[in-house]
Amino acid sequence: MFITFGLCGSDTPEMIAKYAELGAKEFFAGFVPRAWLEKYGWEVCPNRRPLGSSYNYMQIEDLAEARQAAKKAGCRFNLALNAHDNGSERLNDLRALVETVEKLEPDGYIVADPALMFSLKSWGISRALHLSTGAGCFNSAAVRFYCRHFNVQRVVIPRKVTLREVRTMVTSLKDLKLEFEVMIIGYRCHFNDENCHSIHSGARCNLCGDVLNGHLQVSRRFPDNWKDVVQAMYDDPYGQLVEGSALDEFRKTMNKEPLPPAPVSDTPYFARGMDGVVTRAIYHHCGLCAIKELRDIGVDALKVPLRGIDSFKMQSISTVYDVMTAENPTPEYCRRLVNSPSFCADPQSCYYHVPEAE
Amino acid sequence: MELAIYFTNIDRLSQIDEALRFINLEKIPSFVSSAMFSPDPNHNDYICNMNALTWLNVFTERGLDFSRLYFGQEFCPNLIPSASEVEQAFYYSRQMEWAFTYVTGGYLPDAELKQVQRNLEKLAELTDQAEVVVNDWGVLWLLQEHFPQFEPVIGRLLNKQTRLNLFTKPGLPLPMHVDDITTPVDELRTSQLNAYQDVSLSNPDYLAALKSWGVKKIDMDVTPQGVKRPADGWGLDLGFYYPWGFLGTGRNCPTAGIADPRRMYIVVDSPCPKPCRKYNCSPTFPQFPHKIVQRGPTLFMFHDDYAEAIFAVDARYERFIFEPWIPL
Repeated sequence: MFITFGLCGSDTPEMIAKYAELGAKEFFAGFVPRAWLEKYGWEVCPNRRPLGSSYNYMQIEDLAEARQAAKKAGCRFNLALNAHDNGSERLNDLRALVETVEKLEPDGYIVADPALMFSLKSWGISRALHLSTGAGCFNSAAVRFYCRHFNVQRVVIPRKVTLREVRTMVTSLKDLKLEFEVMIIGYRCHFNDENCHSIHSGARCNLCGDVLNGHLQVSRRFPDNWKDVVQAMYDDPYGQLVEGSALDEFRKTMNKEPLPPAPVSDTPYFARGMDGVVTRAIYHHCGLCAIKELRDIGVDALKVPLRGIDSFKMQSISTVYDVMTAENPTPEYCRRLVNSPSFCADPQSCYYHVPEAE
Repeated sequence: MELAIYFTNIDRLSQIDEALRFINLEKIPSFVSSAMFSPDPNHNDYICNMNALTWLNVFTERGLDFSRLYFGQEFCPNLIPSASEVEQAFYYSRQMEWAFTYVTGGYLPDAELKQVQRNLEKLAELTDQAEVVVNDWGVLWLLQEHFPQFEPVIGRLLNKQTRLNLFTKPGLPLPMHVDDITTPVDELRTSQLNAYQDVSLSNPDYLAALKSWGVKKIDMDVTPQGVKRPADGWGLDLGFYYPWGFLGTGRNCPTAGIADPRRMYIVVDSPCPKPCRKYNCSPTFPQFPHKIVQRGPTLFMFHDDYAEAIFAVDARYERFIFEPWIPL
């Protein structure tokens, strides 16, 4: 098992050497050249990080230095090209981007769009492909489908799965000699990556943020005969404004029993350890407790996808490396490292459901 | 043009007459109807059913009628119909002399994919003339390996076109991330709009592959920016879902979170108690100009004014898939 680590545009060769020293064995990065940016802006991004320059390398010279630094440290280096949808009018620009990057001999490409995978093939690119979360491989048949057509080296397992589902998939694909990767720390996304069709922009709130921060309204579903009530309103609207009318009875039925509360995730108070919300600023979401089982299952790579997040990278790699290499990293062991009972008691902090951690 | 009607479960299908029963809400004084339809986003399903029926009337006035049943679950693996339900739905379509399309979902871990396989086995006992909407490449694999008699239709979950591009409307002062870009903003927005109208399907290598896999039809959501379809229509029949398109979906679900708050965020390794059969839990979205509602794990948008084009006499698509209810 090893760590694959996301680089920001600001990560220098010196920092990359340090990340490798702390335990990263592989890096991935995004590249948005100036010409692309001037044509499409950040909102049409080749790698799903449209939030600005901190997320991507923008000069090929900087990317080349990063690639070289990774090589020097004995680490693999992959390029993310994992936009979900790439219309044909963008293909020339994508081809120019890929041909530029090809000169750096990356180890592979992280891809999500089967159309782009076919294009890479027709451009003569034969490097290893990593199926991004955006490829949506929830079952072994989907993986076999991709492997039938493309040079797949690795499957990045989607974020929203159970450990049992991971085990089933990995076990049933043993014959294909694939690598499997899971997300382990960082932002989990509210909607599944592969089926989120709004876009992020640094300039305003994102749709998922609106969902998470908005007011949740719980309501009872209407009874099957609700159109009879509408018909009564249509036939005799003012007659509905008396006790016992169809509308009155409808309202009473809807209000007869109290509604259950909307789901809320409390970050409880604990006197010891760090506050949960402060801890969330470091880890965002955390799957440390799942590492032991993921290792037993045979998952190869742990992704620390902190592109665009400059702070706490060192701490994040160290923590994941510690758990990954520990002989028996029980949930208690992981929790001691995180040092925030408040964070760990809040279900929204978790990446995976780990029954042993309950 | 073919009209299809889409139901996700047998209970809903059994109430098809109610689903299509139109009552003109405009004739009801709003101070009365507001006692039933409050600003609650969860009520959009009902009020939009009536609105959508008004638009459906455009087709019925042209003499069109339903000739195909779509049946199945796209968004929640916990709600996949049983083989027996698929059988009942198939017989319903046969009774109506409609063609049958079995709709499969986008979240199919191996165990749920087995359920889909059982449903396909049941369907294979009944007919070799069905279509199967594919929203997971694993289902296409299954069809290729075991059910080559069925015709695959690429579903809307495999069409990744951006649905809610909030930043790309030229001429509007919408916020966007200009960083140190020197291109004039309106020129940039025009390029972005073009990009969001162009879809992977226009990639000739991909299109050739789809055709080699026996794909002749593709289903899509209507999007505010529209889709660029070439003169030859890609050589595929195109279907549009109406009135509900989806913006995002996941396996975590706020409605399931009513029963177990963990389910709001993660996938829990135990059966879902399905509180969605009784309740709904949606965020409110006062800041968006469209009707948006979360049903189960999925965020849906009601196609309002921007969908008018699909009702034009000369609109270029081949199938209208009517969703009387939010398909969950």
